[in-house]
Amino acid sequence: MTFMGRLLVIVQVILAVCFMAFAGAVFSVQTSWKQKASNLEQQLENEKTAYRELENEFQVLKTDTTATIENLTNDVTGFKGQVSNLQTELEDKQNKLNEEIKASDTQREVARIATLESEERRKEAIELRKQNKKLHDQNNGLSTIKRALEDEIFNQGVREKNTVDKQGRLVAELAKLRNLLRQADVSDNPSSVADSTQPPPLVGGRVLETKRGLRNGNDLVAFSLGSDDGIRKGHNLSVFRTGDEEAGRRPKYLGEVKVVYVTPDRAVGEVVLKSKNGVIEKGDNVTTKL
Amino acid sequence: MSQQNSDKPAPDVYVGLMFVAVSALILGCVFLVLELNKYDWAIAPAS
Repeated sequence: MTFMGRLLVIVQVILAVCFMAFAGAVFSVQTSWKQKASNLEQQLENEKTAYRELENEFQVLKTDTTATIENLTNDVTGFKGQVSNLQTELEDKQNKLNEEIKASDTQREVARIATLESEERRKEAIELRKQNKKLHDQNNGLSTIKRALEDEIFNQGVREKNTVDKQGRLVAELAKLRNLLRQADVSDNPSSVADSTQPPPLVGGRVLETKRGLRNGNDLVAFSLGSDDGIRKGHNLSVFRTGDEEAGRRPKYLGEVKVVYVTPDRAVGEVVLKSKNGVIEKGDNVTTKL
Repeated sequence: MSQQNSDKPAPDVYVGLMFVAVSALILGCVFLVLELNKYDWAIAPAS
């Protein structure tokens, strides 16, 4: 065999072995794409079946949902009507509630006013009770005073009765005394007696005129005091002359006169006591103070 | 003829290699047949 024959045998062997190796590898290792495709087709068929079932279910659900939606729409329409009615009813209730609240407020205010009125009436009653108690006390006091006054009136009545009796006796006695005075030729005028007995008021005046008495007669002096000054017949007045230091004259007591005649603004007195200091002259002072 | 028989060359290693190559080709063909048998002898995919 030639060298070329030998070389070709060796190459043929190598290639045959490689062919066998690749074929074995393909047979043992290569995946069966047909089987895989069959599996995938089967899976696809299953998926399609499932899809159809799901689509059927979806249609059923869609139908049910549509019906449900229609029912719900109807229900919503009904509910809207009910809501509208309820809103109207709610407004009515709200209006009634507002009216009730107003009425309640009014009644509460009335109750508050009534409470205040009752409180004021209670205070007024307490005050009236106090005043009533005070009036009772005053009434008791007045009753006591009344009883005392009644007793006093009774006593006064008794005294009046005694006084009347005494007056009767005194009138009778006065009549007797008047008879006695009339028989003794004595005046029974009380004013003349009182004028002569009452002391003269403390007044002073001036000598207006003097007149020498006749034989065995006293001197008369007219002075500027009268019955308006309180001078009465029978009063004794002092006569004096004021001094003058510049002229060197000293005050002098000149005597005393007794009133024998009285007019409202002047009187006439009779000199009952003469002093040796001087003679009474016009302008001298007359007074009841000494 | 007898001479030819007497001149008949003795098998050597290369003859053995030729048998080995034939065996390898046969096994490779068997493997390919089995592989094609898996696809049912469809060469192109069904459209």
